[in-house]
Amino acid sequence: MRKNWVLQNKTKLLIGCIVIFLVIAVLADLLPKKESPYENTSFAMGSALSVKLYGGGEETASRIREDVSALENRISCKIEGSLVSELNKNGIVTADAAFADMLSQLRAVSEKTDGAFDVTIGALSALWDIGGANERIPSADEIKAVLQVTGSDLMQIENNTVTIPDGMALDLGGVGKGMACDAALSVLAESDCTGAVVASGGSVLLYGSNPNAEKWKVGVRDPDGGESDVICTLRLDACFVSTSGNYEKFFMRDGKRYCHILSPFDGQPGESGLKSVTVVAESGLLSDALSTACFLLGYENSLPVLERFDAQALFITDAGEIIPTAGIKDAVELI
Amino acid sequence: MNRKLLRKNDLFLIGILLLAAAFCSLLPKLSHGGACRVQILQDSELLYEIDLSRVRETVEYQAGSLTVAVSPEGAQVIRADCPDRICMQQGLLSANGDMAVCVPEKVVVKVIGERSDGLDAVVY
Repeated sequence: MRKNWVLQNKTKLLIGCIVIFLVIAVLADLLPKKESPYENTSFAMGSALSVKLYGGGEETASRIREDVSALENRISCKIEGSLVSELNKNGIVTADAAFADMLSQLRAVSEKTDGAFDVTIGALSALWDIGGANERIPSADEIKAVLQVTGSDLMQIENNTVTIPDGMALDLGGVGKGMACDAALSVLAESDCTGAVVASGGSVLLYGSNPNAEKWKVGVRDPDGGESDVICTLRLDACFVSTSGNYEKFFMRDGKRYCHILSPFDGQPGESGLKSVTVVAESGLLSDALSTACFLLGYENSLPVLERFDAQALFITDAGEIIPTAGIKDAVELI
Repeated sequence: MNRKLLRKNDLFLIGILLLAAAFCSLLPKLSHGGACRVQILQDSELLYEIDLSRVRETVEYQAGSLTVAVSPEGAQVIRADCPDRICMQQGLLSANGDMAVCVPEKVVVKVIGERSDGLDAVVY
């Protein structure tokens, strides 16, 4: 009798435990869920194209890949038959309004950066070939000769026909990754995605809102560390971010570093007291172009240029100082 | 007193059961993403996708002229015929988001999954 009583009550207890288990499980289910993004990586614009989508999937990622690839096939000077390759080869190309408008926009950016950003440095890039099989230090005469055919003001754009002088070559490598982010934005704007992070090399598009209802958190690479080392983070709303640094691609001769960002002013690799510049802007084209321009201009000379474009930047100097502009001061978190 | 319903051991067992229930229910909500996976792509084509939790010993994978060694600790480009070999300088890729890119061979080696440092992206 006594045994039965104990057994019955132990059964009740066991049922009670199961009920509590279920209650905990239901409560846990009510906690905010961590949404897993759709992720995809491909190769475009000479670098990795990483796409992370919240509320989207393969269809959107596939359209981004296709549109970026189509853009690369038009603007890459390394792809035979691209519009830029044809222009470089023949000195003239007749294309569509979109291509002519793009070059007009790039020419305007060159003017507003006081000539620091310039897509007509193709011949200069080829001369140094930094990161290529024939990288070398060109002679002063060679540099002088190519600088005579460098300058966006020498590029003629009439209707949809673009003409450049003999010896000039366009290289959109300083802006292609940012433009890839612009192409991604056009796809995302027509999709159901609520948030997305698209990274084309060192240029990033932050789209929509972060699923954790916080600002996006972007790490800025430590110029003296490895690729995964971050020196500080930026908390940002939807925008475009690009970095240019002297550690990305360079060669060393006699203890001196020759980085791949070349100055259209003197034809030399940039040396303005900066290790890197990260620019936050309203388009990928601008963030990418301005990061190159600011790297060449140095901290002081960059400030009026950034103001003209209503853009913000974070400078890391040769001395290791981290200097943000006023508009992103509060977004910086040091590590 | 003879009708003592619960002994000390019963209470202990019930406590363990409840803790296990709470742990099992909450774990998936609190964890940071899934297991680490390594993707090796060439010219945007996925050549290999390796679940690191299933790797017991180092295995070498070929992508163009690159040899990628994948071990339980991560992935590393150990051989490359390209001129700059920047991809080899990346060392061991072990954390989610770590990536090595070989531009001449158009190869990307990437550890995918949510980053443990909470970053959405890194600009470089």
